[in-house]
Amino acid sequence: MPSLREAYELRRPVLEQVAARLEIELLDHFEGRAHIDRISFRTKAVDSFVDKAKRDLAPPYEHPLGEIEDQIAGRILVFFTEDVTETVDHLNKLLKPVEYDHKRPTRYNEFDYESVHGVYTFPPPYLVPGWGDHDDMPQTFEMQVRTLFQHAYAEPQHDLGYKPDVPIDEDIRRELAWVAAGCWGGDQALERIRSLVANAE
Amino acid sequence: MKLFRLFGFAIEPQRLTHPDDFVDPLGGQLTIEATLRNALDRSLRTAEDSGNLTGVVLDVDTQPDGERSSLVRDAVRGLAFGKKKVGRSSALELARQLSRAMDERSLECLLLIAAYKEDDGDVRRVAAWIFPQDEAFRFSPGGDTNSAIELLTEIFSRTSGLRKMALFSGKDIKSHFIQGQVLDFQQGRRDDVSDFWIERFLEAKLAITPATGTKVLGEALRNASKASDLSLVERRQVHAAALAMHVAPKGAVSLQSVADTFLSGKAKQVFLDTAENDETRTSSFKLDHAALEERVKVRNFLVEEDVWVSAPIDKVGDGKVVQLDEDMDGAAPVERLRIEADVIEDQLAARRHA
Repeated sequence: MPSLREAYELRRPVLEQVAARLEIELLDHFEGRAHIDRISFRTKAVDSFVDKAKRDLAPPYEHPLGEIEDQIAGRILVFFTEDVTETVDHLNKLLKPVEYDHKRPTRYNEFDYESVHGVYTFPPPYLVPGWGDHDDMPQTFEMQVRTLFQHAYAEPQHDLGYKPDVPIDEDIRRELAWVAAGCWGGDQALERIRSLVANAE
Repeated sequence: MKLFRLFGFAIEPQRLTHPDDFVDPLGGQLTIEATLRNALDRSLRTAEDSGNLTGVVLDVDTQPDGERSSLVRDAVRGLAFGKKKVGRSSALELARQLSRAMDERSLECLLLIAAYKEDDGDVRRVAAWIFPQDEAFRFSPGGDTNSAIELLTEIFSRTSGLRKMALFSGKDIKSHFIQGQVLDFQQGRRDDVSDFWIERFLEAKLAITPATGTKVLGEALRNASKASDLSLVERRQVHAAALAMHVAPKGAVSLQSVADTFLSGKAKQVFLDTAENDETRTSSFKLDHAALEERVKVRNFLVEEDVWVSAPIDKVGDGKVVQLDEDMDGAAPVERLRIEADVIEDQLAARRHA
């Protein structure tokens, strides 16, 4: 019986093929649409998968190979905040969502990570030969849709890699909030400018 | 897998019934007799081997704290994993849902809900069948004066072409029991069936969206049209299939249904080989005609005197086999079509020369 790590390593080539297929299909689906900066997909790294599977959650993962939904994940970056909803609507013409979450701070005076997260089922035509050879393949994958400014905050912030049990210094929190606020402000300004330019035409 | 729960309900259409007048369907849990178990196992195998399964996705609550809930998903999971009381209430919920989905166009039917489990695993399966009400004669031959015939009315046909099935399987986890498969033995009238069984009862959508399905169909038609060594008949079939899809009325198709209707031989094989798995081959999807025109570019001209000319789009234009000129006819511009080419095949030539 293979270990969890071995089982995930065995399936990863097939996951990569499906991720590549999804990327091609989405690029085709969005071809010609304005304000799309990039569309990209990735498969979860082996270490990252194993770490997530063993995370101390309540409830814990009983079937991580089937339960962990970001084994394949995609991201669409757009120019303006108004593009996010339109992009999700266009995405939903191709894919079937089962979960949708606009992650953002809940209080007006907080600035932090902001992005649309969706969970989608795999369209049967995108599943490559060999997909069915593995037990317990995921039935869903994740998509994120965000602006370039939201991404400019999210990626470095994620890369800093906080440990959930290590408290973060208050000054660091404040600086990060300032960066997030700046990104939020950048998005608002771009949207205002876009509207002014459109009205002037 | 082993059948461990079975429920049956007699379902009458109550879609137009006021909620205050709604009557719960009669029925409940059934004893699993060996003959019934074997019959259902056979029916399930037949369904899975039929090549007519269509993937569906339930419309669930997509809010992050909505737990991907839907009436059908919750009921199916209750049947699969819940204790006895939950199983019974879940079955009744599905029966009520079906009754609310059916209007007077549907016959009264028997709803059978079967739950299966693995001997040593976590996967469960739930199959929901409907069998329409029918009438039959029971004849007891007994000689010249002892024969008897009885009209049976409270029966439900296990082999009727109007029967339907929905199948869900998985583990008790967040991402399972959202997708399922349906089988509709009824050929034709796909819109009505789709509305009733998939949209109103299951509250689901076809797993392949119009955008995805139409793209795959376009690829399949292009692959078939480019295949080498097709006979003239097969090439004509592919061309006819492309034209037909462009003008097909609204409804659902599958690669398999298109292949079975229009194609044969190598053309059919190449067309179906575009599907990399069985579910892509057999699952229905609604055509997106605008997208199909983008993908399978065929121009169709109606000229004077009811003459039709069709050609691949890249064969129309200056220097091409089909040329379009613009002339002035009086004050108004008019397009004129010119074709000059060797005839490779004349379908009616044999009759013409007879």
